[in-house]
Amino acid sequence: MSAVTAEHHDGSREDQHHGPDKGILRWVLTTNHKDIGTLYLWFSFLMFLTGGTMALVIRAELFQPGLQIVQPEFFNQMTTMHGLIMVFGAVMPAFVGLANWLIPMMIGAPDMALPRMNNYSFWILPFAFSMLLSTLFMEGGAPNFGWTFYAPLSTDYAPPSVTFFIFAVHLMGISSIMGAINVIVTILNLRAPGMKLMQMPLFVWT
Amino acid sequence: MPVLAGVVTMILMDIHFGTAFFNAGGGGDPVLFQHVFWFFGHPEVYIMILPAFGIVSAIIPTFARKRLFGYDSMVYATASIAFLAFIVWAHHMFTVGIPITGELYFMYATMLIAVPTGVKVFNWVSTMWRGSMTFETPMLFAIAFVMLFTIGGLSGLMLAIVPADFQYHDTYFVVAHFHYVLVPGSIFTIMAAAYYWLPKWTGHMYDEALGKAHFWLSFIGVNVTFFPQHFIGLSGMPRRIPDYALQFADYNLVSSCGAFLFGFSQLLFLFIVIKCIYGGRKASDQVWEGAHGLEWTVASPAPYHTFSTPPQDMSEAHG
Repeated sequence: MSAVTAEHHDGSREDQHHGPDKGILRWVLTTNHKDIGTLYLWFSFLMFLTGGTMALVIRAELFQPGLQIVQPEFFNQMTTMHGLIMVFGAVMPAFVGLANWLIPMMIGAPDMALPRMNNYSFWILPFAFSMLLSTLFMEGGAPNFGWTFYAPLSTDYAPPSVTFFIFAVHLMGISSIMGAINVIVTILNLRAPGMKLMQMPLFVWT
Repeated sequence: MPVLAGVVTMILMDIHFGTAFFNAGGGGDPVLFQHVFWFFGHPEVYIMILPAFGIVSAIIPTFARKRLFGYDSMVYATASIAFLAFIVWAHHMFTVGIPITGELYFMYATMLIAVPTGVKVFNWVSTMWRGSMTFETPMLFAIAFVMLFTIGGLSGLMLAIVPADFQYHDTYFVVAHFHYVLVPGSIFTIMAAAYYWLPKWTGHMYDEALGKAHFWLSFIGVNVTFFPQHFIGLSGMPRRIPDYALQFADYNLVSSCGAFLFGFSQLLFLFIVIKCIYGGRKASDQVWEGAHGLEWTVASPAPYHTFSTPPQDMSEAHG
C-alpha cells in the first residue's frame, strides 16, 4: 500500500516534462532556485573580475613610488569602487547564489519558499550595479571617499554622483534583505519532514 | 542592511534636504555616522565569513573521510559569532575619541570573538586528524582557508588591542588584515565550493590538473600580494594613497607582482568552469566518496526540479 502511494506521489517522471523554457526569457522570468543560483554566481564572477580590474589599476599605480598611471582623484574612485563592488557585488551575491543552489537540496525542499521574490531580488542587482558603475562616467567622477563613506567626506565634500551611489546602495539593500528573508523562511518552513534543526548541514546554519 | 539603508538615507537628506545628522555646524555629529555605519558594517563582514565556515565544514569531512569532529560545538560557535558581531562595532573607531571605558569594553568584546573562532579552527584540524585525507582542489582551497584565515584572525587580534590600534589604524596593516580574511577567507571558500559542487551542477568533473594549477597560482599570488602589506603597514604606510615614500618601494613592488599573478590566474578559473560545463568525465551521483548530505542523493547534474516528494532518511543529512 505504502509502496503504491509512494509511486503515485513520485514526481520525478512527471518532472521530466516540466523542463525549463527556452531562450532568454527562461533566465529573466525564472523562479527556479537552481537557475537563480546560477545567475547569482555568474553575476558575482563578473563583478569579481570588474572589482579585480580596479584592484589591478590600484596595484599598477603602487608598483613604483610617484604618480605614473592615474591621477589621485581617479585612484580614490578606484579604491572606493573596488571595495563596494567586491563586498556587495562579488562576495555577497556569491554566497546568496550558493545558498539558492544548495539550501533547498540540502534540506530536501523542492524550491525556495518565495520563488517570485527570489527572482526580483536577483534582477534588482544588475540595475543597482549599472547605476553604481555609471557614476564613473559622471561629471565629478565616481564616489571617492572610500567604501566606508565617512561623513563629511560623503556629504559636504562629495561629488554629485553620490546621490546615484546612495540609490544604488538602497537597491542592493532591498535585494539582500529580500534574499535573506527568503533563505530564513525556507530554512524554517521547508525542511523535509523529520529533519530537526540540529540535523541540518552546517552550511544551512551559516 | 536596513541599518545601512537608514544611514545612506540620512546622508541623502544631509546633502539635499538641509538636515544636519552628521554636520557639527548644524548640531549633528560626524561620529554618529561612524557608529551607525559600523553597526551595519561589522555584522556585514561576518555575513561574508560565516557561510565560508559552513562550506569548509562540508568540504573537510568529505576529503578527510571522517564526520565533523564536533557538530554541536560548531553550531553554537556560529551562533556566538553571529551574536558577538552585533556588539563590537566600535573597534573600527578606537581613534575617534570614544571614552576609555567604551574602548576597554569594545577591546575585550572583540577579543572574545577569538574564542568561538578558535573552537571552529580546532574542530577543522581535529576533523583532519588521523583521517584518510586526499587533496583534491576543493580540499586544497579549504586547507588554505584554515591556514590563511588564522593568520588574518591573529592580525585581527593585534588590531583589537586599543593601544596597538592607535598605531596601526588606517595603515596597510589593516589592509593586509582584511584582505587576509576576505580573499583567502571568503573568496577561497567560494572557489572551493564551486569546485566541490560543480560536478553536481553540471554533471561533469572539472579538470583536476588545471584546478590544482589554479589553486597554487592563487595561493602563491595571494600571499605574495598581501603578506608584504603587513610589513609596510607596521612601518607606517597609510592606506588609500596613490603615492608613497621611497622606503616602501620594495615591498610595494612585490605586492603588485603578486596582485597581477592572482588577478590573471582567475581567468584560468573561468576557463576551467566553462570547460566543465561543456564536457569532461561524467560525474556520479555521489561524486565524492566521503560526502554526506541530501544533495548527493539526487542525480548529477541535478534535475530541474528536485524533492517534489520529501526525502525520508535524515540520518545522513549533515557531514
